[in-house]
Parts: sequence; C-alpha cells; structure tokens
Amino acid sequence: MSGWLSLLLAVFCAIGLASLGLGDHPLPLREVWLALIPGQGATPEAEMVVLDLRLPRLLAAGLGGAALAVSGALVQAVLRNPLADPGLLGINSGAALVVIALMVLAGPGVLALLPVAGFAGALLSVVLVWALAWQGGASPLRLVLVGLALAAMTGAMASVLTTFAPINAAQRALIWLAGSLHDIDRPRLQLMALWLALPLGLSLALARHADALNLGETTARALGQRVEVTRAALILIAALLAGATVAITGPIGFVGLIAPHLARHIAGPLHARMLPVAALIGACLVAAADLAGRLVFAPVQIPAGLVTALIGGPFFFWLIWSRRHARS
Amino acid sequence: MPAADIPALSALNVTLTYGAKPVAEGLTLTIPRGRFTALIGPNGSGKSTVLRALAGLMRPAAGEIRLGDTPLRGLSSRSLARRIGFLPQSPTAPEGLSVADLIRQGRYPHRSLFERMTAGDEAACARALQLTGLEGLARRPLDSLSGGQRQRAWIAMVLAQETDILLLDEPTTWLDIAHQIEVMALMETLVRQGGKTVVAVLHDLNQTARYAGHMVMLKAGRIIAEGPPARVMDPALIRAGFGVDCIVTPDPVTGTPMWSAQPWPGGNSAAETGAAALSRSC
Repeated sequence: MSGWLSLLLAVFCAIGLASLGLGDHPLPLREVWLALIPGQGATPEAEMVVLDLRLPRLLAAGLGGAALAVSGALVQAVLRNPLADPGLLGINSGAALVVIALMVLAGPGVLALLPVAGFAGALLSVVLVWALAWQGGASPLRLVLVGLALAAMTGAMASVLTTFAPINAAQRALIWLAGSLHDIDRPRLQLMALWLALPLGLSLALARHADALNLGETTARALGQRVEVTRAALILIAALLAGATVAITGPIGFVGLIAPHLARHIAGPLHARMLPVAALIGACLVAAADLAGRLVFAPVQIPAGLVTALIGGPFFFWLIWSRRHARS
Repeated sequence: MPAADIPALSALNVTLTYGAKPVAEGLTLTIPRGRFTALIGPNGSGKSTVLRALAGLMRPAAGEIRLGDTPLRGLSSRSLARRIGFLPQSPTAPEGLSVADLIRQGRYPHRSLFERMTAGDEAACARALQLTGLEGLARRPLDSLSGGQRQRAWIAMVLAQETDILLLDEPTTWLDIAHQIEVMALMETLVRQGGKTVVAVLHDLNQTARYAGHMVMLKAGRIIAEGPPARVMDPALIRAGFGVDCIVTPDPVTGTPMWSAQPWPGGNSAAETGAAALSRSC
C-alpha cells in the first residue's frame, strides 16, 4: 500500500520536473533544481519561469486532479455506482453555469469570487437534484436521472449565455470551459488550496462512513448509520471539491471517473486506503495531461480538459471492455 | 442483563405498511430471550417486513415495538445497532472487499464520528472470525468465496457488532443443502453457547423444526401459530398456513416433527392435475 503511494508520488515528481523544465522556454534539469531552492544562484529568468509560471500551474494541476478524483470517489460511494462521476449529479455543469454567468455579466476582476461561484453553482445543482429526486428518501437511480437532466439544462443555459455575451468575455468563458490551466498564477493557486484543504481532510476523516454506505442502504442503516445524513455530507464535500476546482481550472472531465477506478484496483474498496491513492492518481493524470497539452502541438496549447477527455474516453471503453471479459 | 422473563423483542398491536398498502395489522408478537426463533409462512405473508420492523428499520404506522421493556422509537439508530444486529436477504459488498474488512464494518456502531479501531474492536472481529470458522479466509476477497463461506462472512460481520439479538432475513435461501445445514448449525451454536437471541426468516420447515426452539407461522400479516415445533408443525396448521395437505411424522434422525406432503385432493399427483388441466384447456 505505502509502496504504491511512494511510487505514485515519484511519478508525480517526475512529471513535475518535466513540467518545470519543458515548454516554450526549455530549461535544463540543473537550472530547474537551482531555481527551486532559494539562494542557489539561479538566473532571475529561470527563477521567474519556474517559480512564477510553471510551479503554480503544476501545483494547481496536482491539487485539482486530487480534488476531482476524491470528489468522484465520494459521488461513486453515494450512488453506489463505480461508473458515476461528479458530472452525473450536475455538479460540474452547475458550477460551470454560475462561473460563466459571473465571467460574462461581471467581467474580469472577480477572481476571488470564482471558487465561491463554483461552489455555489455546484451546491445549488446538488440541492436541486436532491429536492427533485426526493421521494421519502433519495434513491441513487432517481438522483442520476434528475442529475443528467439538470446537467443538460445548465449546460444549455451556459451556451446561451456565451452566445449573447460580448466577444471578449465569451472567448474567456470558452477557453475556461475547455478546462485550461494556462492562466494559473500564485493568487489563484492559493485560493484553490484554501478552498480544497478542508474538504480533502474531511473526506479522509469520513472514509469509514462511506465504507458502511457502500454495503447498501439496508445494511448501512442496520449498522446504525443515518444514511440520508451521510449521503448529504459526502455529496456536500464532493460538491465543494469539484466546485472549487472547476471554478479555477474549468471543467476537467474523466479524472473523477478514472482515478477512483484505478485506485480501487490498486488499494481495494475501503476509502481510507483508496482515497489517497485516487488523489495521487488524479494529480498525476491532470499534471500529465497539462504537460502533454503544452508540448504536443507547441506552440499551440491544448487545454488539459481536452487532453483528459481525449485519453480518458478510450481508456474508459477499455476499462468496461476488460471488466466484461474478466467476468466471462 | 434484563430478567429472563421479559421478551427480547416484542411487537404490540403493530400495523406495518408499505406505502399505503398494509402488510400487517394489529400484530402482537413476542420473541423469547436466548432462543432461536424462526419466522415461517408462505411468500408474501409479511415475514421479512415483520423482521425489518423488529430491527427498527421500518417504523410501524401504529402500535409499538419494544426492545426488552424500552420502546424502539426512543433509541437512536446507533444505540439500536449496538443491541440488534440485522442481516438483509441478499446483502451486497463492493468488489474486492476482503472478509476481514467486511467483518470490521460490524464495529461501525461502536465507534464515534472520527474514532479509530481500538484493541477491543480488533478483539471482537477476531472472535467473530473464529466463531464462523473463517480464520483461514480472512484475507480473501468476498467475491472469491463460495456461497456458504460468503454467508458465514456476512454473519461474522453481524457478530462483530456484538449484539445480544441477531435478526437474519432468509440466511439459507440461496445456499445448497450442505451450506444450509452449516448456517443453521452456526445459528444454533450462537444460541446454545453464545446466549444470543436469534430470529431468522426460514423456508424449509423440517430443517427449521430440527434447529429452532420457537416457531412463528405468519399468513397474510397475521400470526396463525406460534410455539415449539411440536405445536406449530401440525397438519391442520400447515394446511391453514400453506394450503398443503400433509402428514407429520418424527424425523428419523432427530425425532423432531417432520412433514410430508399428501397427494393432491382426488388422488391425483400435482403433475397429473396439471396435465388434466392442460388437456381440458386445449
């Protein structure tokens, strides 16, 4: 177990070093290293590129990936479906709609409000989905169906907003919608870290409640769990994680689906072991996607959200295919 | 320890409904302490519903369920789960969960919000593992076990809960006969040696009569017979409950009552009646 954690950490560091060195302005590994340690006499230029441009971006990718992975794992626990992800409950699209509305209607200079908007949108979606699906309890199936309908609706509303927006705002919104990390700077990174620290910690603290929920509603209740309270708490944390991430990076798909899936293969279904692995896999995935998006068609940058979708889609098909063949 | 003459669980004039549909009305039932009680009856007679209500998983529309002399209504779900263990009919576990990890879930009601497993928790899990004879399989994933081993693992999870009362909904239904006997014997041991109160919904009357000390026969949400097997395993009662004519003889091995179906009325076997009905309709 801890072997896997160290391995994943090493992979993230390797991706990180590559991300810090490679790009429009390539730096040798030694130069990157000097820039990372203060007072080692790196050139001011290298220091600027590494510390002000690439490092915040790398850390935001890692943090965002981890948050999306954990958010996905929690949604999967609540819906008791390993193929679910935050998008299914309208979390991503709700966050996206409110963020776009803020971008289009309020213009630039609302940075600090973005995570608030993302979380508000995510929360609003979740509450709406919950309320509409409620029938003396919220069954996973009804939640998914209502969530899908709401996601389609909010997605359409976001498109309408961008259509009528002034061209600059619309362009910003569209780039953001593709899930790009290119304008991450230190203040944005700090904002993100501030918003994600608490829910990431809480998700680990509540791991065993998610485990009990995973045994099914009847068993969980027989074990003394107040199932609706647990579901609501876990979804709230999932919304906070996905909402705050989406607000800063734009929607980055498939990570919330793939990372928990791989983590379960590695660490088994118990959340205390699985969540840290999922978080590290998510971090590696988004960091690698961002790196690939920067390098493959340079100087054109492909947003990380598009890369995860391009790689994640086929990967997902493969997962389903291999599961089917493993069973038969 | 409450006095032995207070029943472990009792239902007083209870009405149970699914939505608007009543499953049982005015039901009064007592579960004797330290005994193995079997709920029997035809499909749809409300056995499982009654069991869920006894477990506190379903609130009666009227009447009261009591644990000892305390109404269930007044207990929090956590304190209830420390005193009553319940195993649903076909419980499901996430893929890849090991036997040991499943059993640890049984400690859920004994831990507070952020508390870790204590030595006491680990000891309870070890006892449950040993009682069910699963020591050698602890690390195996649940989905790699046979049906009987898996059922024992689930029972071990409920045992780790360390409750005096265990309620099991059809614990033998999906098992082959060897595993059925294994689970029945385990339940009997829990009562005999562990001093537990066990209530199970069961289908095989002869098997039930061998192991259970107390039987409750339900039909359409009403109790039509309760008592020791010698009283409940009665041709007239079985006819009333299941609509089957039978004779009851002593079980050649244990001497407990054993039923055997009579040929269908008119001397035809079931198959002949069916064939006759078919030829008439063609």
